[in-house]
Amino acid sequence: MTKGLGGIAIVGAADTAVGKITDLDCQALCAIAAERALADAGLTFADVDGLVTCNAMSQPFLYPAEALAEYLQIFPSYCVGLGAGGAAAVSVIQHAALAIEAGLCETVLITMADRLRSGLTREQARQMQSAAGHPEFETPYGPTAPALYALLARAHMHAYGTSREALAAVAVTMREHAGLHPGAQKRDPISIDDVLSSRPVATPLNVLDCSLVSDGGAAIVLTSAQRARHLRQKPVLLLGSGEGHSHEHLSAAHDLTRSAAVESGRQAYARSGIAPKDIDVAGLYDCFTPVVLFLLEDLGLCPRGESGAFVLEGGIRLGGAMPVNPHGGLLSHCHPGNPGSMFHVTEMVTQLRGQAGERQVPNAEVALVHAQGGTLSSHSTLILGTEATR
Amino acid sequence: MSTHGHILPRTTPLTEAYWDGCRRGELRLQHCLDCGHVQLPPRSHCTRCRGSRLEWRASAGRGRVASFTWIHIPLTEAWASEVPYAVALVRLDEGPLMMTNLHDCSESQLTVGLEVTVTFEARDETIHLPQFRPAREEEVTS
Ligand SMILES: [Zn+2]
Repeated sequence: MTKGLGGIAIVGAADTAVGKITDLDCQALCAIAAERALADAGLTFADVDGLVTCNAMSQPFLYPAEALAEYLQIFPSYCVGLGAGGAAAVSVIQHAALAIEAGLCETVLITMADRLRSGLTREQARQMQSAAGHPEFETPYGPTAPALYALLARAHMHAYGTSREALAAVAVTMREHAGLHPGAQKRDPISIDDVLSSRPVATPLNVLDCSLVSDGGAAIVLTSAQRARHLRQKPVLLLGSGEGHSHEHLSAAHDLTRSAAVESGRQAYARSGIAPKDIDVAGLYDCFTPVVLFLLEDLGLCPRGESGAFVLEGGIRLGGAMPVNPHGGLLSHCHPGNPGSMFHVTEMVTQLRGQAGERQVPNAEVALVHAQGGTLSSHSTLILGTEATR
Repeated sequence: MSTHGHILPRTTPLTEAYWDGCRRGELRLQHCLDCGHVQLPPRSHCTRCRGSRLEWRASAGRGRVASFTWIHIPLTEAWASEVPYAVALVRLDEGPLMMTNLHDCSESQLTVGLEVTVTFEARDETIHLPQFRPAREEEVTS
């Protein structure tokens, strides 16, 4: 089946403030993001009959979506809490779109927030760190989350001769972009030398190769493209989506230099009829610098093995061949955990509406968003467009 | 947790033979009697042919480093006195990939492709964790 999801549109999108938030909890952040996204669309909570969220690690509920509906006092006919780690925020859009297409509901609110910076207890932080490894065959060796990505980075460097500087250039570019976003958590420019001389975490990765630890949330509103035409904003259409799953734990990966983003991307391209060369701007998951290199290659946005050179030549900068994360990504805008890739989605919506101001990619008509969870384990790709790309 | 506070493996009934082997200084792998596939972690079935006739056999305990990292910020306090410590993925000669620590190995010595040999570290009475060290000259296979 290679059917697109072109009948569904994102009609509202909004972020909360990000960084350090001490006066609100996660449910309040979800509510604020939701209220803003609905206002952006010209809708109200009364229009919402579908609700999707993910659990907040700092404020977990047994049934997070039901608990949020209760908090908001909305009574949807479609109510789902999903988890696929970092891939969740993108894969939920596919699920929500299917629910609308199947007639289960008409307007879905997707809202997520977490407070990894201010909200975690010491014990929660410790559990989160050690949860990344296989509890029997990995965690006893003491791998941290950055260490798992460091193993991938080393494999890529060995296979393709990727330089240490190329990893650093990803962080430098994200910081440069964040400097153009007034709400980004880190906006002061950094150099390749700054990255190379920052504190070692797990070789070859240093502190500046790792994403931020943030509080924050974001929301989007989905409805049919037909209904979208009568709403406030220029509709952003879902042209296609895909998922790929290859393993959960790194020692079960079949290939340390290629991920299931290949399969995820291939489905999204086939379903949308869009080719990598048609993409104007990309939102790529960037929890650690090497992930961007893997995704550029796996999604066909640069030739295999050449992502290092591509990034060093400015390929992912604004004005480059494939501008990535104009908002600054998880490395410099914010990373509140599972909701992290929601900000890639809201940024792509902003770009396709032409509302990104200083960081606007000129004439952006087609955008790709890709999120991953685990250790390059579960992948989700979305291709977004405007009425002009249909 | 062990006496030093390291996180211990969460074992299952299916992996008893594996940890029993470790206590005897043997790294055991499951061999499929139908298709010859060798696998780790242990499972109820062969991941290649889905057969369930699996037999435990001792590995030669040798392999090569597929990737590695030196960890400077430890997983928990238990590892703090060991930083930087090496975590590697080792491709066993029999085929499976496993995560491990590397011991008796300097930062300059550790490279992708390094030949390594298994060694066991007692974390408590029941868990002797299989780990690796660089192979000595007489152990090098090729
Ligand atoms: Zn078999």
